[in-house]
Amino acid sequence: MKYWRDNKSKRNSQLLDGATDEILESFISQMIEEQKQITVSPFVKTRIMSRVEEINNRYENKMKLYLRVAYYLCFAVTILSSVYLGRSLGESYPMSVETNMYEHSISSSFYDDGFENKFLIQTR
Amino acid sequence: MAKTDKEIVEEILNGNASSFESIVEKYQQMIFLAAIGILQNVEDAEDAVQETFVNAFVNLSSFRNESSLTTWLYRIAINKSLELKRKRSKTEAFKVVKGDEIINNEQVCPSSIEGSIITKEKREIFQNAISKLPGNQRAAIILSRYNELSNREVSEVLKISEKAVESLLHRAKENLKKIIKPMLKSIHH
Repeated sequence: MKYWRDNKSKRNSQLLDGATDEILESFISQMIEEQKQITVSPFVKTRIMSRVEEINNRYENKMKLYLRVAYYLCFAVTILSSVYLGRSLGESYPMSVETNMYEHSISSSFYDDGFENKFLIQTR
Repeated sequence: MAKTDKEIVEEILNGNASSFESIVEKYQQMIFLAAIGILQNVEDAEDAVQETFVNAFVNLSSFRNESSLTTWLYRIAINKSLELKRKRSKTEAFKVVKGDEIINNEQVCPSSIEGSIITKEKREIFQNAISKLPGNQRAAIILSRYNELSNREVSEVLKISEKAVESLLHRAKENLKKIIKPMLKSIHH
């Protein structure tokens, strides 16, 4: 252990003795070159793709949910609008028919004697 | 004929998410180098690579082909790595996973062990020095020296002028030397 420490100090002192800009720059370059040799683990790609797939599936599921909600919403709106349309048409149309029928029934109840007599005269 | 980045991006945007794999395969090493330069830790760098690509996939629709895909990916990688560095710097001391592996392989004779220890210490000095650089200087020197980008490319990634890149690189180099010198001295004493 002592041997290593002594030698380490010797090496460092050697490095420091000529610690000019050039030596420091070559030291930096050496360290950078060493780190550049490290390659990325092949599992990183798998990890990334599984995350991408997960995100994609989540997005697709969300879209499916939105589509389903939109479908039911459209269905409900169609039914409600047809009920409303039918009701509004029903409210306006039968009123006039009723009125006409009422007027007709009144007129026939008032004047049917005359019609009846005319009919009797003609047949006679 | 190999597809261009633009074609692959269009394919992904049209719903073919599996095409993203070719982008990951093509650019993962260069993103990893940028990340390891900033983070000085293999595991963290791999996490940064993952975060970079996931972020790129999520925001791919916002990529407008104004800059190249590599510039855009570098930009995300630098931001993600610096963000991760900020998060980890308070809680964790740096680890040298690969470095330790190298040392384990060299444990044969005392002289090689001694060499390994010196190499490890040198590596730690360098990692400390890089970690002490301000974020923009670190990003500039990593893109320039690790990824071997030209000053113009670095300026595109960092969205600054070429002159600013030159100045950043000069200051980064000077600061590295300033930091490394006393560190070596402290080991010597």
